[in-house]
Amino acid sequence: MPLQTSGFSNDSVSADVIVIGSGPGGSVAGTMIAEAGKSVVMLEEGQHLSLDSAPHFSREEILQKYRNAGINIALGRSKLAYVEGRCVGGGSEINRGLYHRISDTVLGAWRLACDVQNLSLDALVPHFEACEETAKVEYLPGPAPLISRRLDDGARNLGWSSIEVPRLYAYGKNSRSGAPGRKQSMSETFVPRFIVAGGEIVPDTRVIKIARSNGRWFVKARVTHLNGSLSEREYSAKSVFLSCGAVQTPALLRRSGMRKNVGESLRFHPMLKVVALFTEEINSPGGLEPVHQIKEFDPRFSMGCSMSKRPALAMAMAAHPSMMTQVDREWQRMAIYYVQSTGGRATVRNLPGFADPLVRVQLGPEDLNELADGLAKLAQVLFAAGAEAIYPSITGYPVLRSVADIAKLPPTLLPQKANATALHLFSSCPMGENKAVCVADSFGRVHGTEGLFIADSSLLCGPTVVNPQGTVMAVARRTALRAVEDRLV
Amino acid sequence: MMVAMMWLSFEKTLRSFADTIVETKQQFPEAAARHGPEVAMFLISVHRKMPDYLRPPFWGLVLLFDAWSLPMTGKPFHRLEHADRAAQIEAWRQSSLEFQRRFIEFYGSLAVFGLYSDLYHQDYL
Repeated sequence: MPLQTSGFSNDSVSADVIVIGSGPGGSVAGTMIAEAGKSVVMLEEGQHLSLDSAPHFSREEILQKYRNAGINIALGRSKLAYVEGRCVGGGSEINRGLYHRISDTVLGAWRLACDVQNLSLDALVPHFEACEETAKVEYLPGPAPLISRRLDDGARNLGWSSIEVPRLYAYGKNSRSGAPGRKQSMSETFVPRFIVAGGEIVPDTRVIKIARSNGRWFVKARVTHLNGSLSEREYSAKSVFLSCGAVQTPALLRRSGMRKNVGESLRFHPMLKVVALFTEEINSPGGLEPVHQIKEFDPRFSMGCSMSKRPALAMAMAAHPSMMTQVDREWQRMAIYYVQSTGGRATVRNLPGFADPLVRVQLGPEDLNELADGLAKLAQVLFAAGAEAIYPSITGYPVLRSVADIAKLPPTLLPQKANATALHLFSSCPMGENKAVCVADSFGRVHGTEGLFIADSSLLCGPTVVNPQGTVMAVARRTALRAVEDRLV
Repeated sequence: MMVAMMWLSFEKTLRSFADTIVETKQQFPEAAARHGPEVAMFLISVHRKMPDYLRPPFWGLVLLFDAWSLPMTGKPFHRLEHADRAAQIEAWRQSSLEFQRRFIEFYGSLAVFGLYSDLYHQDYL
């Protein structure tokens, strides 16, 4: 499987380990290896920006920190818009930091499907705990924002299970509301720790391909300089950790000639959104992020609240352009809610002559039925919470003004109308001993290679059902420590 | 036809599109001058950053949108008056052709997002 190629020079920057990508997987893995005394270079395609370089989900942030300015579309009969980070810290810089530990039930399903060794909640708990010491996970110190509590109220009124989810966030201790606080993104937590441990972080550096020669890995990269000019640079190391995310890691492996099972099994949490209009004001400028999720229907689908500032509301109302003026008039009574399931599959491929990989998605009839059912349940809980109108973010869908109107929703989603989005992507290079489907072994080492590891969400064996960042960090720590312990780095 | 093609402009079309959305939303003529350039730059920047295999088709769609008014008015979209530009946007929004509706949904929602990021910056504080 490993390439023995020419085209790489002997004039390269050398390290013990090169980590490609600085998101939750790369930052945690790189830190563990640097603290084990190895020289580590972490290459990041995007810029090294502070957490405060742009407001969350603003126009500026989308241009600075989102890959492709947030315009990523998986193509197929149904289309799926997905989002990835592209900056130091990766997705942790742009997500809301909602945090879960994965369930043992999901891990059990992964063990069965992929024959993963020594992967259980008990085995992962020390890794979760260690990561949580650096990236703080906290519950709100006071009441949740109203847009969050409304969802919780609706669930309670229906007798459904609803929880407050902690965040990777250090809330302000001197305020009952928890503001001002600090999001515990990688640029705030593991990246500084990595640098203190002697690691070198190299931003603005896109890896073109990797190859193995004479017992070492060579990494060919393209650097974008401040003036916009490009230059090529080469790195070499005994080991390489791929942490580019669930789309870019398989794309890099395939560009480098490693294709077996690679990018064949991308999974995600497809999400549908609605805007709910309430009778009273629930949305205020500067409010904290909503934190409630409904878990009544896990693992089929879960529901939650989205950030609902006016620009986001305008985007979510794009399917109802004639109602857009309502955002201007009544935004304080409006908020965005979502339902997300675990269905659908996708593949990752490179297109000749293009740098960006193509994702092809398939949402089957059962996946579409599940999302349609989830949308109806979301409307039900929002009416139970006191909503007076619900605007599904699906072109051509009716505005719902009562519980009775839910019956007007189509029983399934038409593939061409699905209009789903995904923030969580995984499983494009699953781990396990089942070589018929897996790309890496149970501890992240790419099958058939020496010194090549995966430490990001692509290694997970399927949907996490919950927000995945905690699991990505814990599994990356497990991967890195095992590699150190086995003297593979 | 060749002369008409030379009149078409990707960037001018997105600038005119942004101005029209801003002016229509804000209901006062100075709005386009105040917010239009920032919104237009957002649309152009998004195009520069979108996946490279999507850029040529989107570039072509923008030019098609610019050329749409040529047979009827002799002018591309970016040289029309505000009222005519607004009418063309509305005609595409209501079109029976899906690609026209999707085009307006895509660029329209981006433009409004860009405008609202300007207008309601305080929401982020």
